[in-house]
Amino acid sequence: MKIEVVNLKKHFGKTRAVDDISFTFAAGNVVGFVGPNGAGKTTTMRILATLDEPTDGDALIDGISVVEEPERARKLVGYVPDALPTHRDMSVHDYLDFFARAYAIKGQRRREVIDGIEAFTNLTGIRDKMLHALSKGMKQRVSLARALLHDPPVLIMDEPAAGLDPRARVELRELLRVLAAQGKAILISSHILTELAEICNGAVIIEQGKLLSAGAISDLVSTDGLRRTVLIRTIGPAEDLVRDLLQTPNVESANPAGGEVVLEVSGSDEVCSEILVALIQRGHKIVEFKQQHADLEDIFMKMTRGEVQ
Amino acid sequence: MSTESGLRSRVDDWLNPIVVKELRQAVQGRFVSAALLLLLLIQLATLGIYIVSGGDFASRFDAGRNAFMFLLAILMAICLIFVPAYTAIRLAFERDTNVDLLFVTTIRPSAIVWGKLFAALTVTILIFSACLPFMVFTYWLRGIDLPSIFVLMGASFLVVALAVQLATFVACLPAGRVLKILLSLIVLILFLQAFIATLTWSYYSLSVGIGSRLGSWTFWGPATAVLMIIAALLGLLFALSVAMIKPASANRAMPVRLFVTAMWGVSGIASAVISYVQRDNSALSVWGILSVILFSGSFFVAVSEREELGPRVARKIPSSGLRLPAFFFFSGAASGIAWAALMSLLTSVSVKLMTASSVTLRAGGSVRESQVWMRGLALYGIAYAMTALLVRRYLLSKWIGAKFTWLIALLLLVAGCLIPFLLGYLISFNNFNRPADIGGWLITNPFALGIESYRSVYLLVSSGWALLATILNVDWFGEQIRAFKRPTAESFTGVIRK
Repeated sequence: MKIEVVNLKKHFGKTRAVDDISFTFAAGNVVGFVGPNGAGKTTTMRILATLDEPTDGDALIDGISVVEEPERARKLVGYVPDALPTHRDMSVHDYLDFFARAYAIKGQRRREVIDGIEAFTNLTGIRDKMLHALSKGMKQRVSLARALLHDPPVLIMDEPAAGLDPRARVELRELLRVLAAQGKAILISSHILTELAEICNGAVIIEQGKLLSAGAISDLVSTDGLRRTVLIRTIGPAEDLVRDLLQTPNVESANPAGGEVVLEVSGSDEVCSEILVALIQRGHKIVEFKQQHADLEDIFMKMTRGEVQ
Repeated sequence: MSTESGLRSRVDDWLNPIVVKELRQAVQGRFVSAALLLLLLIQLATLGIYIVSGGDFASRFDAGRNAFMFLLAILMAICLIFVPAYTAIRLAFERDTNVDLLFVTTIRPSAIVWGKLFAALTVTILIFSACLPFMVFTYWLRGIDLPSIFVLMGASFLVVALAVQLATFVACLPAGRVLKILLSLIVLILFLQAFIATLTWSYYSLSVGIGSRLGSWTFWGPATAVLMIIAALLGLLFALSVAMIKPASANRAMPVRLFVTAMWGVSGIASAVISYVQRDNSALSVWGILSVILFSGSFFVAVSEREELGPRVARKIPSSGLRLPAFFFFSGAASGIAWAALMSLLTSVSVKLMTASSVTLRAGGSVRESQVWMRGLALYGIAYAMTALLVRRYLLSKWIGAKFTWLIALLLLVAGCLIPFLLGYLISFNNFNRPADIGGWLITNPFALGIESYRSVYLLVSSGWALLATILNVDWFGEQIRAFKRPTAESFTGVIRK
């Protein structure tokens, strides 16, 4: 099972909501879809869910084109939109039963599937509650349960953690971990990057409809140029250390920050090691010399400019 | 599993999911049960007060009829407001917030609309059934027979069904809340007229008697015609509702055009048969004019359709000899205009051919007059639609998108009808007695075709105008005709097939 987005374009008049983006991810991966508001995330996700058609390009789900065979493709996709279920006069169980019928799941199997999904998403205890009486976190679980009814190998989730309290977020994260372990491919957009970093093993970063970067998070971090951030703590005046550092080759900047010095280094691990040796040789008493690894948030902030079309 | 439970399970699986959902919501919500209880109480109170204050029923022979009319009025008032509003508000809300979720399932847009309609009709049947005992009771008060009660209840049910389908159509429109509220007010006025018309017709029918005419053609002839008209309207509104609720990427126009073409054919044959049997071509003339009015309206709709087909629709274009006929039925602005023009032409030609080939069909009526209206309305329809297209393409393209071209056409039509009339009226103020006195000013008014002395001028002007506006848009047509072909695999960038 592989999801391939190939030269995808979506134009609304003169606005290029999605502008020639391509990326791939496989089963068992949780991929974070990151970008500022208006970057084209929801549009891309809607195309993957077969709700919209691209202006050009295609998306293939297990080799099935969402343009050419949307009916087949949508059987493979579970879509969780950013809107929560709002049907009135409807219980959780009736809501799931309605969608199970809409997915043409019949007879005894329908009852078994719904019972199973309710148990998995921890909805059994509230199955007879009315939808409008549920909290946001519960509604999000109902939404996820609905998307899982037809057991799709691909899950597309648009801002599922938005507005959830910490407990609901942790529960959602755990559910996603289990689903990924079951071999589902999950594409999830969120503005809470720390949240994404904890559950995603891949990320796709877009801005103004254009792809900025895509790949495994570890690759994105390591390909963040040869620029590193190093934190140094020393016994003695920080000013002397900063002065010496600024005269050292490959050090781009050095700034004192709360008893520590933060420096930007352009170079490999070797270069960092040489800087440490040089500092010790100059008589600086180094207590701590720590490389800071960039996280998803750092990568996002460095890559994007927050511009919208 | 027993046979009974197996059968129940099969029926359960067979049911439209929308019907199950709607009926469950109706049962769980208090609105339906509250409205039903209220209706029953009102019916009971009305009948009770009527009987208590009615005096000597032994000497009155219209007590039952009057009581029935009271009860029918209450039933229709509730059903024409409550059922369509309940259905439309729910659908409009779901259309705006949740319909996408249905489109990622296997459910079809037609099943969504059908399910809504079926559930609403089930609620209507429930209300009618609950009221039926009160209605039937009026038989014992005299002045009304049982067949009349059932016929009038059946007719009232059809009116409510039409009202529900109309409300469903408005709810399906992809319009903003303000526009929908405005449309709902217009629909409400139509419902009020339907309410008055149903009661008037019911009272008239009871006066002349229904039961005694049930075995004759004088009842079944008009009844069949009315049933056919209601079926056609229901079908048209259903097809339009489905088209409106479909995703923008779908071939929305095709089912509507296919349905209208079929309806046009069937009603044309029926009109010809009626004209032949009655030895009067009025039915054929009315059919021709109504058809052309429908197709003239279609020019305004078609000119606002999409100008570029999406890949999903494009991949369904037949690559064989069927490509040409398919062009007329596929979504697309040029296709829509071509279809409406072709249908207008076919209407005019078929009326002419039928009346020319049969002496019986030449009798009565005025085919010549209807031919003028048919040609004139179609030509003015094309002229206004094509002019609106020119205005949008060359003057307003920065501000107005293709989907609002109908609005330009409508404004041009209003201006074309009003401004010359007012100018002519002001200039010839002292000599103005009737529209014909300023006939020369009304060359842009399609409704002036009734002025006999100017008809040839109007037809000439509308022909020239339609031709000129079409020629000026020929590049626009050409582009869409050239683009109307099945895309090759290479024309999609980056498509990789398994």
